[in-house]
Amino acid sequence: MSLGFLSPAAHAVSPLQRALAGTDLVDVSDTGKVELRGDVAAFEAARILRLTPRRAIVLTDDPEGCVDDARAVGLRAYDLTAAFAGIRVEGDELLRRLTEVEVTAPIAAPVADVPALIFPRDGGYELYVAQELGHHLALVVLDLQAGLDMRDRA
Amino acid sequence: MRLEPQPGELLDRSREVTFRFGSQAVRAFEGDTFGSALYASGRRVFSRSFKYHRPRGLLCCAGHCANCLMTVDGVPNVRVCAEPVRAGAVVEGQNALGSIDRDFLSVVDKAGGPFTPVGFYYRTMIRPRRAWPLYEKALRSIAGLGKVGGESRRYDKEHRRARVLVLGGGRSGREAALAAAAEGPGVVLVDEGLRRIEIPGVEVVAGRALAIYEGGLVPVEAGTLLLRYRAERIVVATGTIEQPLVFPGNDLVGVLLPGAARRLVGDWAIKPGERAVVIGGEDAVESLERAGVEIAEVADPASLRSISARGSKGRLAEIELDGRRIDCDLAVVSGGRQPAYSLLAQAGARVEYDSASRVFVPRDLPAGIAAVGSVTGGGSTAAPSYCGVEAKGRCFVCVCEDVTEKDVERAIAEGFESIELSKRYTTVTMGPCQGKFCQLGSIRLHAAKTGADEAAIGTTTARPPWAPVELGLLAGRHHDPMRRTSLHHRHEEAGADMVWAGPWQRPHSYGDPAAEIAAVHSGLGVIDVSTLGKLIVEGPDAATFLERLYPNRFADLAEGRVRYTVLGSDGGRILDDGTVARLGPDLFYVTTTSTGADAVHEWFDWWNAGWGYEVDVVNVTGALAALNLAGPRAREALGPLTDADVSAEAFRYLDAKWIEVAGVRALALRIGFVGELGYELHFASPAGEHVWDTLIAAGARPFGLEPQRVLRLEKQHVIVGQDTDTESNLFGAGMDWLPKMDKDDFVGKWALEHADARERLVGFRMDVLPLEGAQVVRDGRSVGRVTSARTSVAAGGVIGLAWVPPELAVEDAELHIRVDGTPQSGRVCLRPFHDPEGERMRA
Repeated sequence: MSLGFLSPAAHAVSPLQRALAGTDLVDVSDTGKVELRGDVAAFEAARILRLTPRRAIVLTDDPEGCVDDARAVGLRAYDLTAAFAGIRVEGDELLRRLTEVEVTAPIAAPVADVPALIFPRDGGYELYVAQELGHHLALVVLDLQAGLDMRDRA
Repeated sequence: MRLEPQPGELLDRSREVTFRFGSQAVRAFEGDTFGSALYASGRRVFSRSFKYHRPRGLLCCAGHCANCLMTVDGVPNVRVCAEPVRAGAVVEGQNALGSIDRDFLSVVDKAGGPFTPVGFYYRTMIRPRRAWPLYEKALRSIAGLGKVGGESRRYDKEHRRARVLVLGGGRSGREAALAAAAEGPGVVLVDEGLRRIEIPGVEVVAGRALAIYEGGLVPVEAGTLLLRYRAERIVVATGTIEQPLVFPGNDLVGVLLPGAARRLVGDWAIKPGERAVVIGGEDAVESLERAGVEIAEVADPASLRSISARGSKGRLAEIELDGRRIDCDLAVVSGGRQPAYSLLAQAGARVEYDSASRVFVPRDLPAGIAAVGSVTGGGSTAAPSYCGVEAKGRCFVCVCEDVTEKDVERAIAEGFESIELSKRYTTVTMGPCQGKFCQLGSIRLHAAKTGADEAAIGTTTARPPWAPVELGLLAGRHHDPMRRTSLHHRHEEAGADMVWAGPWQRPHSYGDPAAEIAAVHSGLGVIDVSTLGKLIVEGPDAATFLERLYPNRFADLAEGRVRYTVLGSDGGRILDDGTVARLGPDLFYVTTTSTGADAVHEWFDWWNAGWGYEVDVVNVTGALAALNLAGPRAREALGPLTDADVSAEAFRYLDAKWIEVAGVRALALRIGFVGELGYELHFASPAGEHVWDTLIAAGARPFGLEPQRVLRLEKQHVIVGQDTDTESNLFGAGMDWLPKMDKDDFVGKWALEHADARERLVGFRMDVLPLEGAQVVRDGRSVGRVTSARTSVAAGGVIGLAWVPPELAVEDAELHIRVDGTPQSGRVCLRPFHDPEGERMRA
């Protein structure tokens, strides 16, 4: 039976988008996210976070295609695009105030005191948290950015 | 008055800075500290002591002691000797009734001594007990240092990494940093000094290391920024700390440590005094002479039998050495240098007494931590700490806490011979300097009074932080992770009163709970239940897995059907509840309570780690919004919004169907937590507002948690965690029908087989509304408790759920519940209060 009800049909402004209104921060929540289960070692993707030998998260522009590809090779795959809200942040300083981990590759680690996925990209970082915590992430990022701005002005 | 420019001074005399001390404008130079500028302006009294309110002046000029604590721009307890000046700042004295120059609380010093011995607060002000509020008020107004107030400051945290982290910017620290930099990048040097340090290839951080924790974690205070360093290797180069001498009058204003004298002259071009006696501080003589201070005497404390100091109004006027009186306004005294080993000790190093040098030195450093320079003990020596304590006047062992030699002696006499116990009783080493100036002295005093040697007495445990730190800095920014559903703003727009429900923010109601209840009973209501935990369980063994995990049966659950279930622990206790829908042969959709998703997910994974079934559990809680459309008009309203057949025959009670609602694909579950005809719609969360708006346009009235709680109570539907606790099992909760004891096995089966129902959860009716948590009483004794209670129009009065003894779990049995202290009569009701046959939700 299809699990198509997981695939988002964006009809509204998310809490994250409301929090980011009028700011320079970029909402990357629409990025497709697919959770893979099974023997994921052989599955290749440009942006993949291998959480365990049997579990991985793929970021993709084509989540439905990714689900089909994964299922075709015997994996179970779930489109969790709507399950995660995401923000792109620039600069190592801000990231160092958000998380304790040193990010050189995709990693799962707490950000702003909540579980998150961190994907480095083009000199910045994409941070993904549970959709219901997207607003919280936005508020924390904005607050910590304000702290950096205050320091720079001082 | 300033001296002529000194070689290497910190001042930039081309840049003047003005700040205020009370009503006085104080001129300073860039490079001054508030302390140096005030000293240059003629100020000698900087604070009042903690207990006796004695005047105190600069002592260390290194930011270690409590003598210069002042309030700067509203921030209390700033060590002004180490705080660089800022233009326009406002500096104030603190811990005084009046001013630090005329402190009326100094009466404690004159009269309070006999009444305030060590530990007096454990023995006095106890009787009469009713006077305690008065004592408390007085003590609270006197106790403490400084007042927290004014605008709160912003504090931030930053996580950083270092290959090599060097703590201390003295010569050894700089050399270590340079050597490490030659091996590669990632070298950081932390220094709290005021001099700018530049080393090629080394990042120099102006800050103060507070501790060394496991894993190479070193918090560094850098103003209002807490830097949390993770270092692969740590080099401690914290040097030594000059030790004061203990003698009568050793706290008088004008008694300085040699380093303070050197810094006043060399760093800030200030003449510290007019006539000085130097005792053990020969290295300050050259600076004093350069500043034009008359040196009255230079003495070696080891050669002296007695020292005492006398003064006027708290200021030094005379020193007596072995009976010889010497007029002076400055005494530069030193008891030698003690390695600053505390950070190493915190990290796990052993600290032992070196009888040759008479100081404590660090040994057996843990892996990854090195020590360089004088902190290792090389070259450190300390003189005897005590000189002439028999003379008249207080000898302060601990200037921060105003602990005298007699206090420690009295503590020892009372049996507090252990240095750790004595510390707790007298508070010696527990003040702002954290033992930097009193640890060695108190150990020596214990040795003298008990006859044990310093090695046997040992040191107290070194604990973080090594230096006083603002709590705000440790706490950092306060961010409460608040979970919001995708409909959060719709609720706010509708005027909802939002409340915490576990980690979620949910609508309590939209202003009129009674009307919302009525809408669900007589028309159409909609509630946001996106907070429900949602798990997909898929795999060839999915049915077997659930069958073994839950007490009821799932192997026989048909595709497209949904079943209520309760998750139990292996001890048979109720953990969570929810529904399980079968979406395919190997595919199930599990809902949990709003706060239970993560715990249930972990519980599933934990069991399957042992069982090894081929099944995957995926938490899709945030991916899906969920709305419960409930009320007699639910079918009529849903019909036009979907092309699915929602007739009673096609969409039966406990069916699970894929439908489209307002163009959005949704899983619809026909279940009835609120007791009316209802459809729980689960769909992708980004479509939440769209579907919500559509249902509202179709006539549904939003209802919140409070109406939901009344509605479910009318049906005696249990809320896990409110009506149950960690001891509750299915039999006690009246769900005997749920566990299938004929199954081969399930988690908690053995425990349920052996469970005894000491309590039963029953419904009750009564005339007055009890508090939730109220006692069920019998013969004046508590025999149970109310878990839920509300007034229900539909049920015709007050209804509730309560745990009672089994013998009371009989239909219409009388029970008594304490309301406002008085037992009130009620009647047990074992069937739902409203629509007991469930005809409305099955309609």
